[in-house]
Amino acid sequence: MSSPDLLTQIRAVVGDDYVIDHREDLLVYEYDGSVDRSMPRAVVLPDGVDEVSRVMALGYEAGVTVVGRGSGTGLSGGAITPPDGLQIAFPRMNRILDVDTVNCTALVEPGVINLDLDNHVRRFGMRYAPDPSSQRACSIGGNIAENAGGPHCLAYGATTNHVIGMEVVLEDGTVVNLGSMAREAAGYDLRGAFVGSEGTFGIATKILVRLLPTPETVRTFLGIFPDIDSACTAVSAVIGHGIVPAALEMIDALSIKAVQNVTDAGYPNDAGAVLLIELEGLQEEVDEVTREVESALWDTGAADVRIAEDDDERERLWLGRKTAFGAFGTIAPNYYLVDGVVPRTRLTQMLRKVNEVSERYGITIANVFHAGDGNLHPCMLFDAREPGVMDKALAAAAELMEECAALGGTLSGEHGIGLEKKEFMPLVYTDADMAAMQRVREAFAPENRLNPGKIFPDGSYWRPAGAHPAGHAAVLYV
Amino acid sequence: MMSNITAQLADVIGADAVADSGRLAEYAIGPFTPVGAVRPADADGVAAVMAWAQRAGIGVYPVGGRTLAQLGNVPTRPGIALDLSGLNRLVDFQPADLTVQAQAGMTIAQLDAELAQDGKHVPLGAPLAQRATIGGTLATGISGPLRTTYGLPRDWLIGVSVVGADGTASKAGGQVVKNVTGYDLNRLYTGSLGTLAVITEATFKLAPAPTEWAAIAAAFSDNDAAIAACRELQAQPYAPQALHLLNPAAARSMGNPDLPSGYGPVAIAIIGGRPSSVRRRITDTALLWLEAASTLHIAGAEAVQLTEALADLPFNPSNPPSVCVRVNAPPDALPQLLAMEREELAGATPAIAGDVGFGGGRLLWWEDFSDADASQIADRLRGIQGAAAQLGGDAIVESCPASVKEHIDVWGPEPSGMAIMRRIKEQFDPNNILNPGRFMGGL
Ligand SMILES: Cc1cc2nc3c(=O)[nH]c(=O)nc-3n(C[C@H](O)[C@H](O)[C@H](O)COP(=O)(O)OP(=O)(O)OC[C@H]3O[C@@H](n4cnc5c(N)ncnc54)[C@H](O)[C@@H]3O)c2cc1C
Repeated sequence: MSSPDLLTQIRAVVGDDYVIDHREDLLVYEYDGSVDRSMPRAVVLPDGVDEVSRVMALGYEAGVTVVGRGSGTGLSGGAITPPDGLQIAFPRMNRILDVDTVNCTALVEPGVINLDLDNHVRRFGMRYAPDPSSQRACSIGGNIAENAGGPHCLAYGATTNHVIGMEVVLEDGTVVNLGSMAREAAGYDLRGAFVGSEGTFGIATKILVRLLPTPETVRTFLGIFPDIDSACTAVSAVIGHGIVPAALEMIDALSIKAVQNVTDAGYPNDAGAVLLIELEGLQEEVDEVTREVESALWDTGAADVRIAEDDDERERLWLGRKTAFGAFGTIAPNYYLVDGVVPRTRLTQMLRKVNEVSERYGITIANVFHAGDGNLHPCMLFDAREPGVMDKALAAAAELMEECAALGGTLSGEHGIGLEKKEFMPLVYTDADMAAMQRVREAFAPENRLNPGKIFPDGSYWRPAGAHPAGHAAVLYV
Repeated sequence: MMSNITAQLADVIGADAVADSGRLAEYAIGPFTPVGAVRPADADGVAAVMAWAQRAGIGVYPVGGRTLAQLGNVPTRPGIALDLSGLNRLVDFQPADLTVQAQAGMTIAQLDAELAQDGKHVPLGAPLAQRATIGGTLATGISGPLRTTYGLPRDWLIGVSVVGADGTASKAGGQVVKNVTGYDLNRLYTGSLGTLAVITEATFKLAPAPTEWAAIAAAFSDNDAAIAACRELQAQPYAPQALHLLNPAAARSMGNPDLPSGYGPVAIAIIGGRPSSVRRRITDTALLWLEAASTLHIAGAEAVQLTEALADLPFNPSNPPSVCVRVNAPPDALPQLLAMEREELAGATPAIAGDVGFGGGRLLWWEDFSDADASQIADRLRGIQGAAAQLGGDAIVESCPASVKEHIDVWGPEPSGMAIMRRIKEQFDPNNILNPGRFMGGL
């Protein structure tokens, strides 16, 4: 399988420098943002669809597994490659090929970093709306695979709402276009099926994304609450009033402490929780909604409501939110988080459960999450060197996922199932539900050579190799 | 064979749910009449019918409100109509969660009415909303004039229950607004024209409904002036919720005597939202469009009616076009779309309605083509499909005489992903009993 022959052939396609197979060079490719670890046979760094296609065809003939890798920030083990598998990574395919101001689109390669794209198109008065908290590091290819979300997906939808067409390479090297240049295309919505398929359907080599105009007015405020219960009630009050802000994020007391340890985001140290809320639109609209949101916050027990005075203050508020996971490194060396979703009116109930689980297991849990769409991120903080602690964290995570399912929610809002949550799929799907999903995979990848062993339960015993070092994330994302 | 099938169906779900043979013509799909029709009361009934059809090796043609029953190629296989209108209950409406779950046979108007009680809506904008069903809207993926702002039906669907070709029930997605748990089958089923499974129930996320609507219609001297004015408006922060550009023939076909006519193309800006923002959009749009040859302001209920009229235009049963082509194209193709005025069918030029923000639009003819050479018309339509491909999109012939359908795949040439689509169809419906022959390339 791992014949040197195959690598020789691949070197002939991409060049000697772009195949990595020395152990020490492979170390950075053996993990992603999750708790898993596995060293691939080799990593290939192709440039262009032609090289990707030829590499895939060679791998296919040789019968090896191929796994795509973006920036390795995935939190469900999506980029983890089995020991005999090839990893294909895209640091060389990181070009923004075109920005079209009439169509409001950008054509990009998969290795383009999310924030680089957004920064680039801002100068044309547009933006790329999906903004995962990892946006300084994660790639558009990885975003496509996971159907990544982010704070502003509350109003604008997740990645799938922003992808118009794609060029993808299938497991056997065939190149196909999914979708088209138009926002709607005849035939089955293969584009829609591909986004969120976690690298199991094909490798995306070009992506046509939709851009939105930057809004006339942006208003960011901080609702400061004495406790997390009242903050949850405020979330329901805002949504229940029929207000869908551009973003509505929750940051609990522990997360506030962690954030303020590394940067002064302007979060009050004595708050029980804060809500970070952003409104966008026409000046008149934003003014009107501001008053309604303010009164909803006061009515539900806010201790204070602060509006960012200028761009600086606004950016500081957001930096705090986006730094949170890194900042957890100041509280404990490791973290492990769960990506469950519940209907928004169940947030209070769910967070009580989080609290209860935290106490029962004796694990610290911080909560910083996309409250507006009910997407929790209870984040367990611990020292992985402590014996048995990882088992405890996993057991606690299992209980939290069960509770999400029981409350009418689901396992993952944006991070994907990957290796991490695959055995929990039966909590929300029947065998028939999953069989229907597998049929689509059969159609895209009949030989199941792309990222196999992910998403669906197969009873294979899954044991994470270790916990993700929070300090490492801090370096990456602050 | 017919009575035999009726008897078998009666055995499967009870005689009450089986239409007598006198009513089969109501379920005709163009020249094709089904050999039986059933109207189950619930998903179990649907499952029983599908399991039976699979055993009997007979086609199944799911039916909703029959507003788009003619869409697609002519069926290739004898089969029964599966009428979903009996599954018409609201299952669960959670205003505070902004979600609603309803059965597939419920009409869009019924759903809208339920949601409006709480100031919410699911902005699908489906044509003929009084009759169109949730299931039909999802299966066709059909969208309305507000798609620039609100997107397509697939963007609002968060969960779906289906019955597969073999009668197995399954679901995808869930009840939450954000979900990446497993593959996104919601999007695969939406727009698959019932060729993969029968949709029995759907869950949507909701949006607060705008409290006020208005519209501005403006006539321009020629296409260039109209396109420039539309593009300028579209680029403004106060851009409307929808912006459509109609050539004079299309403007006339709206049958609205108040619309400015006798000039060049007519742009219609539809504006919705809170009163303060609606006022601002109207004022600024009127200022921007001072140069227009003639401008009309439309307020409130009339603006809503105008939006509905735009949605219904291609499918209006009281004035159905003889040929309707939907062109999917990027927004920058608007000039080429309007230039399709030169595309004649048997000497007749089309009415053209372009969607400025979303891109693409429709070409419509009302002429009687029954005496025209069907294969020649098919050739011309194929030409339009080719032209749309050149623009980076495609063109779907949404309606045309049955004689023309014999000469053309109304969905256009096979796209790059056709091999994958075929494999998907084989996986979901290996014996090809769901809507056989009607979708692209026989999917
Ligand atoms: C601190 C932190 C915060 C985060 N915040 C968010 C958040 O707010 N929202 C959110 O959604 N996620 C978030 N994530 C998770 C992660 O950043 C996203 O899942 C992201 O989309 C992964 O992108 P990546 O480039 O790192 O992909 P990787 O982790 O490298 O890979 C992810 C998956 O994509 C596949 N893949 C990569 N490239 C391609 C390609 N070209 N074609 C096909 N498949 C490909 C891989 O095989 C793998 O299955 C966060 C992660 C961290 C560490």
